[in-house]
Amino acid sequence: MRLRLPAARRVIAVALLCWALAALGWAVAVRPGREAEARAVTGDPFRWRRETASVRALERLLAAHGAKIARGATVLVLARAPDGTAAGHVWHWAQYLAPHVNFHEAEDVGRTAPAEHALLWGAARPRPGWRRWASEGEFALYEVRP
Amino acid sequence: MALATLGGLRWSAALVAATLAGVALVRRLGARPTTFGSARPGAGAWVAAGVAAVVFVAGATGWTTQPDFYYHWGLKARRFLEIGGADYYFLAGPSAWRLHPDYPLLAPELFLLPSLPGGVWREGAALALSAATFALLLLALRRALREAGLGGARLEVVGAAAAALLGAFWIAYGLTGSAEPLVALALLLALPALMDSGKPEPARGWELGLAAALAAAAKLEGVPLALLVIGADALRRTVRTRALPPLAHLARTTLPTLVVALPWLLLARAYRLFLETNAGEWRWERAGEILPALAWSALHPDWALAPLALLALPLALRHPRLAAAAAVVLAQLALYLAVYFTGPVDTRFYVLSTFQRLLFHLLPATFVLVAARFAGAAQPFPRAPLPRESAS
Repeated sequence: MRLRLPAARRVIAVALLCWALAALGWAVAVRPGREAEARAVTGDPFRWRRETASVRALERLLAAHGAKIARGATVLVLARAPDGTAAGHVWHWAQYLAPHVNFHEAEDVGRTAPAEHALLWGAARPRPGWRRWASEGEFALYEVRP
Repeated sequence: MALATLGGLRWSAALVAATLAGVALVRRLGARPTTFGSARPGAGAWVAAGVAAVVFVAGATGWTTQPDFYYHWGLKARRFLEIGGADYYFLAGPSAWRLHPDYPLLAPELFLLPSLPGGVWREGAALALSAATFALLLLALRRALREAGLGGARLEVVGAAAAALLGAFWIAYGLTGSAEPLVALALLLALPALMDSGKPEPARGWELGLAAALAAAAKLEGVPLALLVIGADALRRTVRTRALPPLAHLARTTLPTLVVALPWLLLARAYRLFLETNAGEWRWERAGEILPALAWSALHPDWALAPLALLALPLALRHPRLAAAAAVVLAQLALYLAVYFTGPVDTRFYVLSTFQRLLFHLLPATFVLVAARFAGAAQPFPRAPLPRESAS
């Protein structure tokens, strides 16, 4: 690039370009660590960058059995997670992976049709009368009987 | 596609193809093709192309996916693909508050486009489409720089530096799969018209109107931006001609936004999608949390100090051709700050989790305006004559 500029402006231009390109190089260098960094800050064990065992287990469960859930069915998500953010992430990821189903958390389900299935994570306990349908790692899918 | 939903039509590849054919026909009959930059790109354009290629590869391979792709945009796109249209029953459902059901739907509609022909969700194609918008953004940036009076080495240096800074943020923060680039693109596309570009009426009016419509369709924040763009243009013309803008011009600038925003507004109100957390009572005491969080976000290494350019923006208000565009950017920034003062949520987290990417809406245009103020002033701005209709 031929810089037909006065000397002072040429210095500014070169400095600006070097700064911007250095920022780009830095961004490419730090990007791989961003997810691990976020997990370390939030303590969230459920991140959807396909890294954790929890994420893998949910993906396997819904890949194998998600299509068997009827379109438009209501699935109650029960999660005993360290914090609400992680439980919300489970809701998001399950809803993303099985878009034909309506996932709800316990706080939502009172305002909609009764759940036909339940997705349990971790230490969450099934209610009496529920029939275990399938499980993968920390996740289990139940059929809810009225 | 919103109109198709209103009309009860199922979304399909044929519907999209027919729409595109209609748009192409209208363009052929009406406006002249837009030129992005010079015929012979300089070294800065090649640097920008290289940055765009890096951003595209990083985005298309899922390396820079914004979590909101899974929170909102991609999730909605998958659901809509499943249903064959915008699923307002789902958006009105009791769990949908987690995915901002009240947002305009252009982003999910775009993300599901590559999946429409086969009916099977293609996440990689959706992310590639999103990453490709960065290249469009850089083309619009270069065009705006040229319209602002930059040429030669100034154009190449500013274009390359802006591309690298925006690309750095895109990668470091992870913007692929979000709606933020569409808002930034809309503002950049509106800049030449707001700066009194050489393009004559009626093309200039349509250009501004379509840019405003893009903003309004992209994201909730884009709706006030569209109104600001349209309002600033009308005010600028009124001041310059000392007469109200002619109705034909107002129609050109407002009709596209009305066409995209009215169906969204009607449906969102009918299904009661607007969240109570969108706005609340103004509280000055939030300043104690807002200001440090703003400083943290603006000075975060992801942005490489680029937001400091906003400090120079008020100087552009004194430049006759830059004033309207600079006022739009500053007003939109003020609006973001006002929302932080009124949002009934965890204020600190709200700012920390949003302000960095909201800056992406404004900084590309800010780069253009600041560069025009300091590096473009050496070149005289060719002032476009207003059409006869506006003088009458």
